[in-house]
Amino acid sequence: MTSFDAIFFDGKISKAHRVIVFFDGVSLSIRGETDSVDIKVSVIDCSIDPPLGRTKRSIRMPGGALLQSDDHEAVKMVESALGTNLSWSFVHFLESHWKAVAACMVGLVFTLIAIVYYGIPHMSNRVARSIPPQVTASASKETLKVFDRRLVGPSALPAERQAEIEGVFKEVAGALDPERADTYTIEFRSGKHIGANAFALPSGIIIATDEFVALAADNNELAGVFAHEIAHVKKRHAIRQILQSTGILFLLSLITGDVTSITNFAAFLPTLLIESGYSREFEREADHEAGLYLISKGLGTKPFRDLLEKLDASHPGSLKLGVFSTHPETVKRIEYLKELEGSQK
Amino acid sequence: MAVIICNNCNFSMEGTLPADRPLYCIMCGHPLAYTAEPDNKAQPADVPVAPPRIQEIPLVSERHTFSFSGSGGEYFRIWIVNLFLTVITLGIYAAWAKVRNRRYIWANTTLAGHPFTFHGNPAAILRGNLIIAAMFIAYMATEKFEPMLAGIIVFIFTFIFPILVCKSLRFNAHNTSYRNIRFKFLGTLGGSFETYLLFGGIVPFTLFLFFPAWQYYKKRYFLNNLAYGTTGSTFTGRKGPFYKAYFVAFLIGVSCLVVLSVLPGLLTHHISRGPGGTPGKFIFLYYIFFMYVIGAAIWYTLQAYIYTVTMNHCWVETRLGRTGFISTLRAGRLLWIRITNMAAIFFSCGLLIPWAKIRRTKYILENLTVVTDAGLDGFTAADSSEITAVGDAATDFMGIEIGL
Repeated sequence: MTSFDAIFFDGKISKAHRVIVFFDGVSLSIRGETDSVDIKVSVIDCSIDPPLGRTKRSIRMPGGALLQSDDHEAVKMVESALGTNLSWSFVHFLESHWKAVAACMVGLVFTLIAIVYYGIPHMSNRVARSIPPQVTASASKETLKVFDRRLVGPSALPAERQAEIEGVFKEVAGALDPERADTYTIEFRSGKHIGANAFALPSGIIIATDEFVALAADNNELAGVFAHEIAHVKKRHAIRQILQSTGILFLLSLITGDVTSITNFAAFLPTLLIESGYSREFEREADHEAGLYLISKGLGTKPFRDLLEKLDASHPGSLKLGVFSTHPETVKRIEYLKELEGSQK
Repeated sequence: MAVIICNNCNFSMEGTLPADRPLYCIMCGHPLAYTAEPDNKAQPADVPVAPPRIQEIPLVSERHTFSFSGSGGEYFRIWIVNLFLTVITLGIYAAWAKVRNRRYIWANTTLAGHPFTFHGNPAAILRGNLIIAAMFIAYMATEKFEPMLAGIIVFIFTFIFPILVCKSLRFNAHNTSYRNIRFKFLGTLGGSFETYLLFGGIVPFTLFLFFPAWQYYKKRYFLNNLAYGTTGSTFTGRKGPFYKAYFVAFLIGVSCLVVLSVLPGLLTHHISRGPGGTPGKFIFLYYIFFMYVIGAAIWYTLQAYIYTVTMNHCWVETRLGRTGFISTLRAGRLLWIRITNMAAIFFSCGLLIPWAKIRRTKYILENLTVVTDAGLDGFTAADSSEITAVGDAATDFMGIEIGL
């Protein structure tokens, strides 16, 4: 026979009764210290709220009455007689031991790293493959319109030169993505506000500025950058970037409990880090494709490296944001391409 | 002994008015302005209203201040285990984690020695989480490529949002009990649509002049529709204090903005003249830094001020039967807690989030006092029914703070 102090509430009125509970293994006898509570219930009819920290234990009795007690040991005995809350007792065990908590923390960190580095990119890749490319068509057209209105002007390149470059472009597209080679188009513009630049829209439109064309010493150099941009489209980098950002946001909301709170204010930095990391990974992948293409043509990666260097020099004073940058540093990209060439020989 | 009458709600009680300090009505929290004692001449009706202080104990009524016994270390352990289980179950456990988390906060909140209890059913919360996650994914998937479709999703969400708020308030109230008597939220869907869609919707069209009123209506929707067992709440708050708080905050905000637009220019100009003579990167980083930190500091100050003024007003104007509330928050203290919490979270890489949450909750709760002349033993229970948790997930997901 165990006995413990508790507070009894009948569930009908908010009055608290101090009681002593006697437990004989099968039933609970509840006797008031000062007033007339005198109840006997079978343990099987009761339920016990799972343990949580040092907070009071609650035993719920048939008919809606409640016992609350600070005597954790005694309630644990009743609990084990009932045989309930086994999994919660395990969670409670984890929560009450610093060593277990430390193990959970290590597990948490490793799981997060696995999700961020492998889980999310892998899932995004799988999902991106199942999305038809036409989905991006209207959005890409809209983006091109915005560019025309704000950032670029009409091209001043003579039509023959445009046709020549288009020929180079078609060849690269045919080699890199033979099945959907016709979906790639090239647009010439003058780089009013963006200078020498070439970029891809997810539907397969690649924009090249006159300044960019002027930088290239020959068509091989252009081919290298075209291969890089076509690789972005072929590998669905735009969609994957969006999916991965969604994944990160989702993960973040799981961790902080909501999307907009102040804790997210602090989480802004890690999010930025992870997303620019993803972006750099895509650039590396596109560089890899472009390098392989040029090597397969017997040109080596030099044409691409040269143009990258010139592009970098044509944008002086651009910020070196390091880990926050969306592109790897040009020096590193060139090193990577050199290594690639070396490994392919 | 004389009869003291409150000239706000006409409640009368026996006692003597002390000469050296104000005394507050136990029914409505207003200062007691005069006594009805025949040989004592009536005091002027508008005695200057000092902010209520806990130390002043009325003569007849009982006062109970909320106390919060949550500990940072214990909450940290619960938090880590919750996070771990949530992440390895890919979010499924989040529902159970939420229940455990709330149970901890509720159970450590005690009034007159007895804790609050949270009863939320994890399975119900899981259903809510799944629905909200599906909407979130649908929105994110369409946002970039099909803006029309994303617009439709936002439009639909705007219209079901009031339903979600109403359900969330019902879920939380219904699943909270004190002394084994459950709370209830009696607000109607119509009331929620009026408050969140109509009043919220017209705010932009009134040049945001209606914004303080909207905040008032949101508080009224919550505090006027609560019930503890069979005892319903009444809310007699006014729009005036809301307008005053927002007006003062607006003035402070605008004057800070004027100063700010000059200051960071000067500072960054000075600092960026380092060796090397390439100022671009430094100007950029310092500019961001100053705008970010100073901007956040001002924003928090205004938030703390508005929160303090409006919450103190709302609680004093809320009654549960013969029970009133007094909230004694101070903006300076709240701001200090907020800023030091932010710094602690930042420098601990997030590890002090639980500690910060416990600290803030403790301050807010331990400045809330219940004043009653009928005691806390006489509240009776009402019938209960099952309530879904969909709205709860939504309002939680959007980080919407309702009520306390």
